[in-house]
Amino acid sequence: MHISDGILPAPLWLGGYGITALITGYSLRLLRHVGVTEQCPWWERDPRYIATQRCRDQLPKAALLTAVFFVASSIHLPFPPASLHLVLNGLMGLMLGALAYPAIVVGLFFQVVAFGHGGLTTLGINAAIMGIPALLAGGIFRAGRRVMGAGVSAFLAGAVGVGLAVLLFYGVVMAAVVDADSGVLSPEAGRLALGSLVVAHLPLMVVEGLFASWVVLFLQRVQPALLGDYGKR
Amino acid sequence: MAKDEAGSGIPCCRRGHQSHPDLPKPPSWLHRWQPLPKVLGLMALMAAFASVRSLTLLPLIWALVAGLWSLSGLPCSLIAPQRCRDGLKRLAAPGLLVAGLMGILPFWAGETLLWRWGSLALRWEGLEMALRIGGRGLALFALTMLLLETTPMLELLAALRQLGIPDLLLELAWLTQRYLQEMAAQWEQMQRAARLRGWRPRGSLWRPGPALRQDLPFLAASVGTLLVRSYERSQRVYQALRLRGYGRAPLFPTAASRDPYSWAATALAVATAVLLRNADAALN
Repeated sequence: MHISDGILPAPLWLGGYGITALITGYSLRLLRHVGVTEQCPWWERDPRYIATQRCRDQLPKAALLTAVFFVASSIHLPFPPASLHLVLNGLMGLMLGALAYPAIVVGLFFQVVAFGHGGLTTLGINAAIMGIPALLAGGIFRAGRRVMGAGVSAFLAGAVGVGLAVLLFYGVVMAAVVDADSGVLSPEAGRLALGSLVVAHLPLMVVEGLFASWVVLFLQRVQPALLGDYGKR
Repeated sequence: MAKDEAGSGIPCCRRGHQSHPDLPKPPSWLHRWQPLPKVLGLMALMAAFASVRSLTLLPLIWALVAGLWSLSGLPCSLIAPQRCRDGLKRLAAPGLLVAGLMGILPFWAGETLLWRWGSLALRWEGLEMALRIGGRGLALFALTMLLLETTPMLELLAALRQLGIPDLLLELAWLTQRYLQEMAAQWEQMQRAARLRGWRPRGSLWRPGPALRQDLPFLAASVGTLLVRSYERSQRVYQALRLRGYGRAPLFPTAASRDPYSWAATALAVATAVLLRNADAALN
């Protein structure tokens, strides 16, 4: 689910870089305030310390989790006549919180480097397609955890994460193909195609939701610290 | 066939200008282009290529890509067959969406009929868009490969730092790169151990019973185990990094790029990009 180079017109991919720059900057700014409380020693409340060391505290863990998600997203499930692979952006969102967006940027960059998935001009828009639903999924999980329990809220986070990503992906591709000036593809045909493609991805939403739910229930039993909130002031 | 002086059996013509097989190949012109000017120059060309709308400019774009490729010393015919297969495999990944659009658009989009057979109709506007997407996509893919294959990762990250990308993001990328191989190996080891214990994928999502009841929970537990192991490892890694002075100095030292030839090449690339942009605007 990566948009390749050459498909999008310049305003779309430049806009994608703009969105990604804004959200990444905001995520990193949030990260600088993780866990800073009045109980912290005075040097840990110093803005210069906060700006450097405290956010670096999170990086090795985030890097390892990014690498794990990169590896785990290579799991292919047979779906004849083809196969589908897990996206796991919802799971990233609920585990990494605000750091999910920069982690997705990095993960997508390495997918370009290693496999040629996506492209350098479309890195920004691809990050927005995966990252915005990841942030939303993190919010759903944190908000619903106490009300619905970890399993159900993780299912919703996983399903919404991939569902919204699919919607954004095909929406952007259709926006590139539907050309209002030259009338290459009518908006009605575009909407019909978009609807059909989203419905075709409903099984993936269910699978991702179940997968996220099972992973979260496993972690809750084995290592609950991994489900802590990132990016919470 | 003529053998070389060392008697290695490798024909002289394949070794080009090298005098000894153990000597490293001299870096190509593109390898010598310093990272910061190279990133700026190639990104300017990529931006111009991605904005092209006129089909008449596509041959020119491809001539430019071929010229740069020949300067890089990375043509497929000069690298080993294994790398060739890798290149084709890499081309298949981004090519899937592009190929899908190229296959669908000529028969689906537009109004000007070129050819009709029953309900199948080839239309000019769709064909034009498909050619534009395919031509631009392949050129951009080739430029991306040129940039990534001729620039070491650490130098690329240092160049991105000079362009204003935040240190935290680059450090995240650097650390992720270090862990990727290890995590992939650990995942492979876990899968092998599971297979040795008798686990086999039992079904497919087409017949969702066994797959959803057994395979997916097992895979979820495997990913959970990998996450727990990596979390525990990250605590140890972080302590070791702190002991070695991590965080006291930037990971990527910024070295000023003063090579005039590199900057001249960048100026040429930017000028070409501007010319392409203007030509495209004039043709549309």
